[in-house]
Amino acid sequence: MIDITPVRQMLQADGVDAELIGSDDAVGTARLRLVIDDAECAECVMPRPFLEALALKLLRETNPGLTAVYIEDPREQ
Amino acid sequence: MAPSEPPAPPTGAAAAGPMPPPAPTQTGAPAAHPTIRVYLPDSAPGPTPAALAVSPGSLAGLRIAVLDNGKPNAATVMTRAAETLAGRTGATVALVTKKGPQGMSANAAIPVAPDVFDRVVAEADVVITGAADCGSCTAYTVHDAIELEKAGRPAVVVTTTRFEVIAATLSDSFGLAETRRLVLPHPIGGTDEPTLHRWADAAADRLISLFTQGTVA
Repeated sequence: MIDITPVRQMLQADGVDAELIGSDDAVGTARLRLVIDDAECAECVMPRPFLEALALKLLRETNPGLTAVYIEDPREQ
Repeated sequence: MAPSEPPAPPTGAAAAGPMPPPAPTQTGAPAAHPTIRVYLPDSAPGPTPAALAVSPGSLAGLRIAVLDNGKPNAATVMTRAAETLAGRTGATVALVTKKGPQGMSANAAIPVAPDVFDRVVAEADVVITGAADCGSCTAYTVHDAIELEKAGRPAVVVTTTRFEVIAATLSDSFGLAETRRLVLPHPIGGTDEPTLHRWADAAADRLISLFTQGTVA
């Protein structure tokens, strides 16, 4: 189980959160869902591509085999 | 710009295509295929490494621009900081502008408008930009500052304690880890003007250091 605390802390600065919805250790991927239900400013949260790049950078520090992070962003639905 | 991490270099990777038949061994039995890893060639390129602009030895006689992303109180605190800095150093506040087209508006969640960028580069020697006090505005403030550094204009990102780490992480991801960052208390928006002025006045020494040395002494 990947610990996504660093990503959650980053997002919580904007009043939003994330949850881990899946991971594939063989491929080195993780899937997160952005939780912005109570956000006062959804636009304040970084665009998904930025979030994915930063999440990968943060999570790689403790999961060096990680190659990609995908984020479901409700703002795009 | 799409910040992303480049994948590991595909050392030893083979091009996709049909495998040739295995060469027979001296005993006549087919040799086992070696393991070949094929990497998808469709990842985005990593950031282009950038460097800080040359730091001036002194701010005397230089022109300061304030590039405002429209966040609440951003212009107030940055303009005051620029004025205080000018008073301390002999520089002048040459330009205060929002980052949207013609400087008439600002959206903190997009890059600086090209015409405003060109004007800042033409009319200023150093730049104070922000406020980087939300995720999106931090991303684009850092982006703008790096572009200004590339254009030879030392640029200080005004961020807050809550977004300090995010600004540093984004700077690294965007190819310039050592962006000049002035960290103020959080929040800037919602803080009364006398307090903002006090923060700005207290930042003068750090701004001088950031502009002339690239870091806070």
